[in-house]
Amino acid sequence: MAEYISKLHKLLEEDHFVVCSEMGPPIGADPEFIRDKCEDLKGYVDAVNVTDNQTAIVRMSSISASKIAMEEGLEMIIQATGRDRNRIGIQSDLLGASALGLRNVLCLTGDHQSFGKDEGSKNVFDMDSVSIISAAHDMVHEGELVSGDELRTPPKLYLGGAHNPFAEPFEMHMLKLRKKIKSGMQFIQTQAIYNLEKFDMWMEEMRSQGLHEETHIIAGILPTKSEFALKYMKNDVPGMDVPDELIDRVANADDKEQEGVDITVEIIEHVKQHEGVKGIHLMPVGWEEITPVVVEEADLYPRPEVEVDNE
Amino acid sequence: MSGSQNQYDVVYIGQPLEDDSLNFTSIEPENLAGCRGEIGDFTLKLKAGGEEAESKLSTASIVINLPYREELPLEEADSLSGDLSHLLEGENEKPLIIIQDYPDLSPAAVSKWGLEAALKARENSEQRDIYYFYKAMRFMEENDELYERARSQEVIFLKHDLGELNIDKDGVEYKREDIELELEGDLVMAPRLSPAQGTEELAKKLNIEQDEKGYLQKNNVYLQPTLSGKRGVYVLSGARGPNALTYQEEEISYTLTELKRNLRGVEEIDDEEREIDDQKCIVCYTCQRVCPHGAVQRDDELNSMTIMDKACQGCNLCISRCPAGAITRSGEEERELSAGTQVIICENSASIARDKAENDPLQGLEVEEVPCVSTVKRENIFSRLAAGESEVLVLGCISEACKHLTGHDRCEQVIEKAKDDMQKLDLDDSRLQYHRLSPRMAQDLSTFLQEWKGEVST
Amino acid sequence: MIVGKRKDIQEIKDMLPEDMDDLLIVGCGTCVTVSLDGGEREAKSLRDLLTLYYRENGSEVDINADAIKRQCDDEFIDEIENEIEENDVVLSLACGVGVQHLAIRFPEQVILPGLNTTFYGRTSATGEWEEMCHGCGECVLDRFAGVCPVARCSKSLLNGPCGGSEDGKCEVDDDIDCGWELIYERASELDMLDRLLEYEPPKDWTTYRDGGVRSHKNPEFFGSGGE
Repeated sequence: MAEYISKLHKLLEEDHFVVCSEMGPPIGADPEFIRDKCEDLKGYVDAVNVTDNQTAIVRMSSISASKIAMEEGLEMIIQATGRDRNRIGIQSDLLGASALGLRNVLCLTGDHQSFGKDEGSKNVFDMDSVSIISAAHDMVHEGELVSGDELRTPPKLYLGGAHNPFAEPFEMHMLKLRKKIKSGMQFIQTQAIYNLEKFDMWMEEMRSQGLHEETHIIAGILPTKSEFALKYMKNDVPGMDVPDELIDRVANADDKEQEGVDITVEIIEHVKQHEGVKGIHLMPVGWEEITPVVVEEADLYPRPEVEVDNE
Repeated sequence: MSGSQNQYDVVYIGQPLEDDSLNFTSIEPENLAGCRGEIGDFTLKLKAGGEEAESKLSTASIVINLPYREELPLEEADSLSGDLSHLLEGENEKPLIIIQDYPDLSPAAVSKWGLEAALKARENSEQRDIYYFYKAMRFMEENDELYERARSQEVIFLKHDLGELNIDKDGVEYKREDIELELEGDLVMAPRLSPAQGTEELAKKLNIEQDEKGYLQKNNVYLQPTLSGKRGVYVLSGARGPNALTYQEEEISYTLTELKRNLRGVEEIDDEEREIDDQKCIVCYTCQRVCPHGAVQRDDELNSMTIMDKACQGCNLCISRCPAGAITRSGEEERELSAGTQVIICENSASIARDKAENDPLQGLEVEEVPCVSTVKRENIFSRLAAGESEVLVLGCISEACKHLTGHDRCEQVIEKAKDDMQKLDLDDSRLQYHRLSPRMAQDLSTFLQEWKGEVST
Repeated sequence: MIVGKRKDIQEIKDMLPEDMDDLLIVGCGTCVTVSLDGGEREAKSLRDLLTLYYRENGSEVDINADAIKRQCDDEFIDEIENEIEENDVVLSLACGVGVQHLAIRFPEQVILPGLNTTFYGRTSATGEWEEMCHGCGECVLDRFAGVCPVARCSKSLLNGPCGGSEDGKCEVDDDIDCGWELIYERASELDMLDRLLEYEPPKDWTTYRDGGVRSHKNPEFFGSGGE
């Protein structure tokens, strides 16, 4: 039958509703940091993202942190961004990742360096998310590099990207999404969803263009127990849409933690009903310990066991 | 020279004025492609329907007479500026609700229309309820009399900013501590006025300064009643701003007088010769852009800018701003720079204030009088300060009374930059100061100088 | 044109050698005059300001100011050759090109830059300039509806906006327009959206400095027999 590149690939293709999560590497060199984070996730999630110098803050690289976590038994998704490396560096990284046994990659453009502490650094952006996906696709399926040269051994990688269903103007961002899909993006992780109406509208559009069948949509979910965090996201984070009702619910709740979990589960249940939504991507910023709770309360435990021969 | 050298005595952009003694024509703003020349000798280039036609008009003067753009805060209401007879006449029992100053203050003339409408309605119906919502009743001409009459005839006046006013097509709601009203009836509102379509493009083509709202006349005492900053270009009614509603008759008659006077010949404002060195001029267009009087244009033969002598009003802003130092004037002297306090004063304010004061407050100080403080060049400030233990005080005019419209602000930009540089070099920048005066402030001039002398002691 | 901004006055002052006897400030009469920061007026203004400064600090320095039409062509520099040689130090207010041309012409003279050359820009309003072009050497404006993704997108992205574009503004700063939104709007207006759907491979940067410091010759003019 079909050869699956990774566990995630198999789960999505075989229509399991997947649960992904995310971990941020340390601002330091200690591998224990990563191993500790794996504890909460084992058995509760199908695949874990490791961010790549997110918000331009120097951290242990995504590939190395992912390797450490993979050795703990987790299925990993590395991230490759265009900000810090040129085409030579990125292609080299992808070959190395595959050699280390890492099989999933999220291809992103990357936050501008002004978000971090190294504003004065030179940014690269030799490739953007579309060209990273395209290059990775050619490496995997054609055995070819950007330069046109052939690879001795093509890497084995399952390709993903990100999308924000709430970004305006809507059409302009859809244009980019279509290009990513055309270039070979096999799964999407979306920005955190709070505004269900807007999410519905986006899914309508995706289905009307048949795009939900060309790529697997994984809905981004950000559990939070703080109305301040919600307000911050609403006001200060570009492209986030947070309805006031949710902020009020958390603000007025006696047990904010439970309210936060309840809201999260409601959102999960809502998105799950959509034709085309193939899973969730949990991003519990600053509240990682809640992942198992959410997975259980959303009735997504236990996770399926699958094997893939990915040597 | 008489107007016979021009095709027309005046070209109206918009509505012409009724006066057969003038040889005139009128065009729509969208037909204007460009304008060159100066008072007594303008050349207007026209275009018809987007294409540049060959036609040019030559004229001694230009009048811009355009209507306002009106927008009702509520589409379904009637406008106070329109014909309201269908609402006011005949037996009409529905309540009449008049609203002005919503959401912003309406111009003064609107109060007159509103009061007249209220009185007319009362004349035709003793019974009907008449409500008048306002923020400020503007008393000009006979408004106060109309207001008293209306009140005595039981028109109910309510200051709507004291409570909460909600208006929609179904009616009006007004809530205050002591009152709660829900009204339905004939709704008449003051329209919001804005500049006519095409005003922005017109300002660019004619090179006239706009005010903050986009009208073609800045709020400035020197421009009253119908002057733009540019000699020979006059601004009426909707092009001028809401103030134009108040004294329409007077403005028209003033303008017509000006138009006729222009035909008898136009004098230059001052005796100075101003020249632009065509070798240094790089046609950066800065002089044309900053000139408040539209007196600079590009020469059609040389690759250089040129100053039109009759349009020039002598402020010297172009000279102080030319980055190539290409503009000179005959009156610029090589001053022997002396130590001590040096004062630069504008002839339109501080100079007059000085003359009015009892004892000459500037006695003993080194004083230079300028037609506008925009004459001040940054390098001159430094060379003055370098000439020994000196301070430099620049006295300009207040906003509404700057004869050259932007000169006072422009000078401030130069002073700020000079002070900034001085601070960064640890030089005492309090030795350089800029202050604005009105010509009436004779007393203030004396007081100000006392205080200032006290602060900067040598 | 080339846009520049005069350096902060302390930086200029700190650059000038302590034992300097005479200083010549040379303005440039083309691009930096149009960007209002390096022409004759600025040269004279600096002269007077520095004279004031040195006098207040008890130094005797002879400062002169002059300007030539351009500092990037020899013939103009010939005009002030003597003047330059007579001075210890030369402070040029030209863009980086002019400063270096003077340095090439006068290998034994200290030539200092008084201006920070910033970008290739247009005048968007009196006293305001916006970056438009990077001189990448391979103009792609035909493919992007007349808006350059290299110069007007803070990340030089070629395939569409990043996720940080918000309300038409760039994630780096609220004052910066999102270049991609400008491209998109213009392409919509001109019915060129299909063009934007096409995949843009990574740019060939060899035409930029990345390919090596550049120069070029126009064979129609360069090197005729006898030169």
